[in-house]
Amino acid sequence: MKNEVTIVLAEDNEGHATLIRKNLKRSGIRNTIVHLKDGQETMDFLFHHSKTEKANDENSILLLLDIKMPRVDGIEVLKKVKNDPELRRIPVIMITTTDDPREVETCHDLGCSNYITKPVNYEKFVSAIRQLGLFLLVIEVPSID
Amino acid sequence: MKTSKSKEERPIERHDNAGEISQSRNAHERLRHLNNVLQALRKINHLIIGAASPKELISGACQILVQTRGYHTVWIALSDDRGHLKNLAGEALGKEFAQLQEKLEKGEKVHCQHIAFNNPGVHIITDTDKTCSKCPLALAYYDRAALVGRLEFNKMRYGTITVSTSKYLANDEEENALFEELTNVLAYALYNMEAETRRKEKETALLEKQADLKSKVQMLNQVPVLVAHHDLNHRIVWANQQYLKTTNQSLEKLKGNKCWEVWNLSKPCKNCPVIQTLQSGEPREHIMTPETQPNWSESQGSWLSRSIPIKDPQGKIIGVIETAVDITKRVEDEKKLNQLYLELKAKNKELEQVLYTTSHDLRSPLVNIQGFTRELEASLKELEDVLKEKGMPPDLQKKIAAILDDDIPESLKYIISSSEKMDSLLSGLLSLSRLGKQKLIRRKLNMNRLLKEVIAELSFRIKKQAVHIEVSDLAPCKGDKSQISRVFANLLSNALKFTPPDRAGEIKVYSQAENEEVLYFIEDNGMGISPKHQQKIFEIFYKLNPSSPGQGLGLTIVKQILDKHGANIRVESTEGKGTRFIIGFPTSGKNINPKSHEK
Repeated sequence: MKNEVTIVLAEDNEGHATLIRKNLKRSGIRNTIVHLKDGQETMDFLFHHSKTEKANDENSILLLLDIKMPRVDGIEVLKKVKNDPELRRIPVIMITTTDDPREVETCHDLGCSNYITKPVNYEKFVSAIRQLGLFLLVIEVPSID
Repeated sequence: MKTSKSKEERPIERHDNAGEISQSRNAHERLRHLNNVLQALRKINHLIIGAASPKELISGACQILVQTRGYHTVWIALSDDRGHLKNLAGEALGKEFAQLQEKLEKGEKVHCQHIAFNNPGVHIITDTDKTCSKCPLALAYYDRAALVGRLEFNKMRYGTITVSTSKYLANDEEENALFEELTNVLAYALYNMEAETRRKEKETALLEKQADLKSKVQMLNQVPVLVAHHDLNHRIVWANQQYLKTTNQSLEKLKGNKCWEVWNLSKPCKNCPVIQTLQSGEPREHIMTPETQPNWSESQGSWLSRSIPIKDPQGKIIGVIETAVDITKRVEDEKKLNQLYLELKAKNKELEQVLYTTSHDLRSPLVNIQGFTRELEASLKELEDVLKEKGMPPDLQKKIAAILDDDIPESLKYIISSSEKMDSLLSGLLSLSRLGKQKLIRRKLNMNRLLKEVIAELSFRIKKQAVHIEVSDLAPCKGDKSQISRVFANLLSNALKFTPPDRAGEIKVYSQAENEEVLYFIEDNGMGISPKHQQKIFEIFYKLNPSSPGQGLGLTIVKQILDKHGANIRVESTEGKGTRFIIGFPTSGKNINPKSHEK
């Protein structure tokens, strides 16, 4: 995976975040991982990033988004991201504790790229991240501009 | 005595002057005869007063007429309008009378009777030897004449009377007049008797009607329902005891009042059924409560009021019967019940939410337990590798090996299996709670197609286990497609799970359309379920075989889905032989044509 891709991990549960980090690392993913602890923090980061890093189109983002978070939940973040003309092309993988088909459908309708249920099957998870990373590499549109 | 003396003297006189004596004797005989008939008539008049029935009257009259020597023989036949014999009496006619009776009972008539019944007046037959030759009584009339008359009064024909008398008297005017008088007296008596009978019958009927009415009124007074009879002006004509008791009024005071005045209201009740019946002529009913009646106070309670029109034989309304039942308690109970229902509904919703939230939130720490256990496993492996690399005293290595190879993996094994078990239970709870929240989208389902899809999804297992599945043409039903698919998927999957170990598995699916429901059968030749388990299999987390895979939720979900559809399921099973699940799907009012399938 291209080093320029930053993985933004929006996850309020420290344990879950640690597990995800460890497993990504174990699978050989060495990208920068920014861990944000709730939806609001995530949006602040993304919108600030989009403004400050606008000039530097080398820097692209992959968002790993938990649904159930304090303050602003994952669905809300997904909506905001997908409604923003600049952020909308960021690939988003939802990581959730529920496999509720209606919730899955909602997220897909809103435009998430993938949906993974916890407890995480890390092989599947890593392969999804790799695919998206590859996707970013090939088309080179991390789309913050 | 006088008569007998002169009798004794007469033969002597006749000897001396035969012609004169004969004439004088005839005149004497005639007088005596007329006297006898008159005497008989008097006696008959007495008889009429005491006779209890027409039968008694005519028998008595016949006896009197012969005993007083009025006539030699007498017989009277009473008949109905069409001449059918009703009563017969005769006197001095010997055993031949029985023959006559037999003839008349057969519906035949003798000559004299026939003439008299169809013609008024006195009929005289003097040539009885010829005219009456075919009559069973012919011998009794042989040397006598017959007088026949119709018993008629007020154009009512009651029958005939036939007497025999001496031929020389037959044409005597006075004799005939007396005979006619006799027929009139008898006819009048019969008329009176009949009138009396009719009057008595009417009286009895009236008394019966009165008694019936009285018992009905008594009944109406005893029922715990208010009953009132209103006239066309909506004024009370009559009310039963319950009405009087409830309004604390006497019938006299109630009479002529309008009902709302009795209940201290300023105007009629809203939707008053009595007014509606008076207007429409049709029965009406209405539930009246303080909530629906603007001018009612709370203390008036709730009533179910019904009104029925009273109509004359022409169908014109002449009044209204109103009944009112106190349903205050029922209405209150219904309110309480409704309140309870709402509370229960809210609680249920709350419970579902709690179930959803807890099962969802409980999974979060579980993810950590599972995830970090795997981390521990990974760390353990790393540790093992590190320890292998560095040289270590053998006794220490042995000690550490016991911990690393046995103790820690054993602990980890239990943590992993327990957390997996908990995870599986939580998933089950989550899916159950989701089912409760899910809305049904009902539509007509082509069950043949649905089953095809369900079987296709299970095809891998079916092939692997070499199970033969036979699906007959299935009747459609109305339901939520995805949920009904799940019902059949769960049941088929169950059947696949418990295939027989010793023979080829077979599953049959078929349906049967009944009046009110469609029955679906899922039948297998599997291991079967023992009777003690049959009731429990639908319970949550119940598993026949604790070590078999699954959460013990399949049949619970089936039952919950069917409950939501208003359908039912039952199981029939014999251990070692197989199991049959029967689903009853209601069809009422859903316009499902069992023959037509969704295209």
